[in-house]
Amino acid sequence: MSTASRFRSIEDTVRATHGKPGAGYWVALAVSASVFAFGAWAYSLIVRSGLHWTGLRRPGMWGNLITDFVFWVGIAHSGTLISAILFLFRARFRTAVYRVSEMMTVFAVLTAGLYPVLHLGRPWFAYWLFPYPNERALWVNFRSPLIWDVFAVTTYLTVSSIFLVVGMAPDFAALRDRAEGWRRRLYALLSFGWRGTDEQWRHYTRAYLFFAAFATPLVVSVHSVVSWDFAASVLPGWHSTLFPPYFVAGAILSGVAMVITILVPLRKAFHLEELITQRHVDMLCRLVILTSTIITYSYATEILLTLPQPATDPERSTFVYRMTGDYAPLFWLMVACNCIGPLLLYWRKVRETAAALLAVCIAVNVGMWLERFNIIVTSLAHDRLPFDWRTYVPRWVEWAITFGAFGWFFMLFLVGLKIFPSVSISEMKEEIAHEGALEAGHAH
Amino acid sequence: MSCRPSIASLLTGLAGALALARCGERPPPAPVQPIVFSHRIHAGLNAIGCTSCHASAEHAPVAGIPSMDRCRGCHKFVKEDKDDPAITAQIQALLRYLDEDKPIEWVRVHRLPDLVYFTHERHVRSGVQCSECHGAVEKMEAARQVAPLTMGWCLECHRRKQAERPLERAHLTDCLTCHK
Amino acid sequence: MSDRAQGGLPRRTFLKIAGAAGLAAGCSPKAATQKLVPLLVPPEDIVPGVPLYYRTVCRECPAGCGVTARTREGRAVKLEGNPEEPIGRGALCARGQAAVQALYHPDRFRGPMRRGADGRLSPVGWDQAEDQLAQAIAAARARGPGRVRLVTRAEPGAAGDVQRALLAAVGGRPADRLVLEPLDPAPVRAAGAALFGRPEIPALDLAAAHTVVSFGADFLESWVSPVEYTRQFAAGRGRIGDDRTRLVWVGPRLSLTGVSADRWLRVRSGGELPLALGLLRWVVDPGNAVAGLAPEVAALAPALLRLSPADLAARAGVAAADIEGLARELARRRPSALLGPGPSSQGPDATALAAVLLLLDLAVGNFGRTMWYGLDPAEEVPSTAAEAAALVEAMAAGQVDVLLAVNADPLAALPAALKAGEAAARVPLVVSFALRPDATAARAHLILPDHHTLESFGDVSPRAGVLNLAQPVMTPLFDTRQAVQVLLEVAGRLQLPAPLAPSADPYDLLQDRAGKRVQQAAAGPGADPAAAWREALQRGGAWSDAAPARRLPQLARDAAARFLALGPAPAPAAAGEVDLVLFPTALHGDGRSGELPWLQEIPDTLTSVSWSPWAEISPATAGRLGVRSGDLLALAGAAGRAEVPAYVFPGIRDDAVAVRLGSAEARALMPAGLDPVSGARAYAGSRVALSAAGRREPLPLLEGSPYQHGREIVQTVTAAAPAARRADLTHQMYPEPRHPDHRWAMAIDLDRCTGCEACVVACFAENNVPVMGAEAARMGRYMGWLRIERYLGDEPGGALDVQLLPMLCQQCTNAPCETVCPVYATYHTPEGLNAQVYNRCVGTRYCSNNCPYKVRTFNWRDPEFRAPLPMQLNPDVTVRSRGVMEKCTFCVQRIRYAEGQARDEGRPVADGEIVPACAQTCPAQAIVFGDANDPASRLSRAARAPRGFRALEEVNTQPAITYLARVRRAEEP
Repeated sequence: MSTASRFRSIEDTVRATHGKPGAGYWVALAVSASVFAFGAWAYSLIVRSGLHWTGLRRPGMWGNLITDFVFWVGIAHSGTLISAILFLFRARFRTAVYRVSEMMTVFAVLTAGLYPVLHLGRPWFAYWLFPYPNERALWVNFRSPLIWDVFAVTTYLTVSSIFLVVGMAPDFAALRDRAEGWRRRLYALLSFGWRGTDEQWRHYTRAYLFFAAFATPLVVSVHSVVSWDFAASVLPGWHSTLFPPYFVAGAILSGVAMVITILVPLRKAFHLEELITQRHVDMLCRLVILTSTIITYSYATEILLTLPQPATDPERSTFVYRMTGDYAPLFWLMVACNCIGPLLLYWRKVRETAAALLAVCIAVNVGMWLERFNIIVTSLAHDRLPFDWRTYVPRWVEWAITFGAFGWFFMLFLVGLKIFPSVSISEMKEEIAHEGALEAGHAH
Repeated sequence: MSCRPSIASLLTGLAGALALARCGERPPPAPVQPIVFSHRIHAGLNAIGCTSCHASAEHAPVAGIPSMDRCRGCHKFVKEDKDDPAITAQIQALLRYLDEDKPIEWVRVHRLPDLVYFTHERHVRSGVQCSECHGAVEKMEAARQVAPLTMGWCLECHRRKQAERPLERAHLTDCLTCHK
Repeated sequence: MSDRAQGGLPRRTFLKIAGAAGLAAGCSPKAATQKLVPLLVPPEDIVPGVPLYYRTVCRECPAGCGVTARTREGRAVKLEGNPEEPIGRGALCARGQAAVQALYHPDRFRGPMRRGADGRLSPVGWDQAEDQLAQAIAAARARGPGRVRLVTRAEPGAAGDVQRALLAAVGGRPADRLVLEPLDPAPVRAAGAALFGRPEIPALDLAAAHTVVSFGADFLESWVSPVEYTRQFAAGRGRIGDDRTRLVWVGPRLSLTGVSADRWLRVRSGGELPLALGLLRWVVDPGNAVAGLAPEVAALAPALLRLSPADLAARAGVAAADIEGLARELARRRPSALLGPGPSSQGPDATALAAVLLLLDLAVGNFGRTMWYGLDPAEEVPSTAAEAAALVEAMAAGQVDVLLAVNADPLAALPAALKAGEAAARVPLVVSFALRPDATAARAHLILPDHHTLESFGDVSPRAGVLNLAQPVMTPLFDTRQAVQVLLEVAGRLQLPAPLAPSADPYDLLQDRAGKRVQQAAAGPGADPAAAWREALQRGGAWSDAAPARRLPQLARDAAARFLALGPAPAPAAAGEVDLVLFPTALHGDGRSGELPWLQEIPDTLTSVSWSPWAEISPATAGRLGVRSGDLLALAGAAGRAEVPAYVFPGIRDDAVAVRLGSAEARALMPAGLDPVSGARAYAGSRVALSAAGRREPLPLLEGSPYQHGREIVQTVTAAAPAARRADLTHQMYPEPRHPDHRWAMAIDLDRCTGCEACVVACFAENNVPVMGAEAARMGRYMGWLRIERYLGDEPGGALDVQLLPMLCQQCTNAPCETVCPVYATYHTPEGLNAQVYNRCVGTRYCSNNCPYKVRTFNWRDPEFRAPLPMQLNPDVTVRSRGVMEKCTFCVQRIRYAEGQARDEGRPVADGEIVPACAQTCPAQAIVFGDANDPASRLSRAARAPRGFRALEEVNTQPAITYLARVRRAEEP
């Protein structure tokens, strides 16, 4: 099969994903859209009459919504990791999967970005968190981790979107050339007048490399900053120097798990098996196992460092409470999902059976959500003054908002799939060209 | 062609920021009052001091709206203007209120949000001239707001005053000075 | 003042709320155009924005403390004690301060009402109403004596005279006037009468007592004159060593008063008398050779020695050694004071108990040193429960034509067993003078709403030499009329031979009586009686500096003998039966003002329950019944039955259950039995069958874990180890914030604090803290800026060691909340305050998460103030809208006010010039506020004490609040 025809087949497979959506697609879109709509309505209750709709109360002033925030920022991680870091490491297997994970990143950040606003007591003043010249002559408090969040998240959103859009320019061009109607016009715009001249390619590869290098530190920084929301406090169970690495590892774990959760059905639905092969999946599974073990190590460190403290030590008390108190079941479920579950991926059988693989990855995502819930809620529920101890149980409104966010995320993703090339055409071609070159070399 | 939209958005963003920064700094026009009351004639021509009507400005948070009794005090005698029938008509309007013992429902000109605890006493006693905030009232036919009365505007003066004696005037830029 | 002006005032506060809401909506303040309506004729004394103070009297209980009412723009916004007045001395209890909410209660009657044939109330004119009443009285009068009855609270003043005169004028007997004071310690009067011929309650000076032993007398909560007693008692606390006043609590249940005690003798219900006899017996036993024994008491030895100590101890339910130990202490530590009985110990033998206690006081020579006779004017002795029962019988028998309820609610106050409701149904005309609907008003045919005390003239003389004057602090809110005026006007329509008073105007009446007294007192060469009267009105009363004759009791011959015997032992309790203990609390007293929002919202100190009745049972009992706090208990007694949520409380005996007086449940269970000698109600001495109702009704609890879990949060010191533990903070990473001018700080003496909640009510009143209701309380969304944390001990099941910790914003020097706020809504002021700027707050709630003390409260929803309650709001403090965080500000508005005054007078702020609401009202004076930068200030001196410690000091927040550790005696647990 000639290189040219293989090039063409790649384009066809990718263009096929933009074909007329089937019933399944519409159902999926309808479901996610309506879940999102319900969440939005639930939130409107809070805006109209206040946070009394939530289960929050002293001492637990944060609950589901902040948990969701941390969770989604976590999800957003793997995208940049896979596309940027692995790119710098020249890890070939990323080629087939990085586009999806980048899309996921951007949409996840868009989701995470909602929460800092959603959880406010007076969300209509959310813009006060941005430093801008105002008639009150007031400035923001740069000592506050929440302000660091604002910068971290907005920066991450900017960079990852630019990275995504720039990376897609050649593909958009390729699609433009074979599309017509509105798609043609849209792709023309998005491809920034790409013609594929050597000149452009030279600039493009430089730029891409540059962005990759630029995005890499963010992978580490963003979730470190988010972890400071907790580490910078004085609350037992939050105040820990372990948090940044621990959160980053957790973020990557949840992120990669989410990539797999999306890829596996995707590749089935759009018949991308020949582009996204089992090898790619295996590679991602390795990432999951690696980060899962890091997480296990972190859990162990945290607990083993506090248990030797005297029984009256609030820090110790908090961890004992986490493991044996009101929320103990959630804690152990978390351990099962994040520490035990991923180990199953050692078995080829599990990696190759879609259902098992999905189960493990979804479990990881549940587990990672629980991890944040445990950190936030148990620490608050059991702080220094015993007289104030109270538990927090999310109310339906909070669950509606939590799931609404998933609706929002998948809604965006489904739309994205129909517009963006979900596998990088140009880089796949590169791969082939590369192989071609190798074969040629053997021939002679 | 590809880069134009981004520049446009940049400009709009900048404009937006500036708009936010400047918003609410243009004071509103003078409201229409139930009867014509000329500060120019009272404070200007007749040189009546501010506190002779706004009596509590020196010893209370609010300067005070003169009671109908206070109007009567003078207008018991001042019932007309010999050489200006227009003004006579204005006085007549007042006298009607006085005869019916009805209060005049003045439309408020200066209004600070309720979250601001402004006190005239403190400002007057520390030597701030009425005109510094209320403008040349004695030249106004109808009283109107001249200062923006925004927080930035207040702070501008507070900071200036604080700079004079930074140590003992630390409270001038303390939020709790105006917000409790 | 013109109606216009009146109308203008509430609008101002309305705007404050609307403004806050507007802010919440994020809309510009210039949005709405507003009208400024000038006054027609300005009142000279009212300057908008400047507070004006009036002196008056508190009528929430018979103690009659003096009150200073702060008014703004002609409306009362806060009640404080009157520092010149000898009883309250500037302090005011929780109930006293809440009176202002009765003034602005949304349910107040807007005017006189008449009940139509359809049973509905409809407005009626005063003239018609008074006519109807006059005719009814005239008709009743014609039918003979005793057909017009009047129920009232104790009125030791002109009002009482008028009531008596009116009844007399219509041919009534003195008994036709029922003075309803359910908690009046009648047994003490009866015992005094029997022993010494003095039917009085002795005046106390607990400051002089080395040991106070209370037999169920909750003198720090509601007994007789709690504010005065708390002040006296606290005077002897806060020191280490032998001269510290020691308190012993005797009773089956540990009351809040008992929490201040150094020792709790867990006698069984009814065991107080045996214990007291045991003490007396030991004291007079020649074998023990107690020196300086009053001879007349020593003479009782033969009678007493017949009692066997072992038997007495067994009957009391305590060890004989405990009795002996306490007796030794009484013999050694003189003078002392033995108080009682109180409601929880007032059983069928209450007079005997009171008598034995008086004999003990006499024996060890307390009379003349800690207690006196002759100060109780006995001008208005409350009627006994027997008389109340007689009234109900008469009503039921149809012998009453007109029943007047003046400032009293008999249908709610009397035990359900008396069936006063049914009896009232047989009275042709029930007239209620209530301010707002109550049980009697619900059955009344005619409602003639009285003025609130803050709208009335009046005089109260709770004690010889004390004349407190009530005067209106504002124009009446509604078309109400002062009861005394109505009675006089009615009398005027009765064609009496002579008018009862020269005029029906309450002020004339006041002058006619109190005025004359004062002027006579001031009469003399060169004196100006008129000026004296003016001054009296200004100061809120006339108090003769010359101490009135204090009498020492003379024991009447053979009077004591009858009290020295012990009746037959009570029958052993049947299976499942426990003793019923009924107790009043500091927040609710006898329950007459119980339904006021603040008193409902603020949790009971001991149980942390709000908005709900509760039944206290011991952990053992709970285990036996298989219930936990919040499960419904079914209590069935001879009087009636009730279902009450259980509260498991280690501070009660296993053979007892305790229910708060003033609750409907307590009314249902209240035994109709009496103490035969005094005719007082026997609150104690009955049993109820206890069982689990099988349902659950979660209690609104403030407490999370009531145990300290070994964290030593609340410290105590002993004579042996007088210094509190301090954390080592020598290594600091960051430079200290500088406080160039002042550093406001506070010291709270835990050895004085009695947990009476007065400070909490003061805070609610001063700072517009919203009342959120029962549901919010159940959710744990209590908004109080100041809460009294109560720890029961170290670990569940461990030793009972109740410690109180008033917890409020610690105004930390290194405040964790400040660094985390993204918008500077909370920050550190140059004066060390930890400021919270509501209008800048966006509600991230991070500050609360990071606050180790969890003293920040969040506005989960917009607060509701039903009209006319907004008139009480303090105009100097923002009403917070939903979505913002709030907390204690050290009453920054007061700080700013004082600083302003000082600046005007060109002087520095004086020490003690700034007093936060909580410190101002504390009857125990446990709270000291001042400038920590000034080493000579009272605060600095207090904070330097070795007892001083900081809450969670190890976190290095460096709080501005220093707690002075509670003092414990070495031998105590």
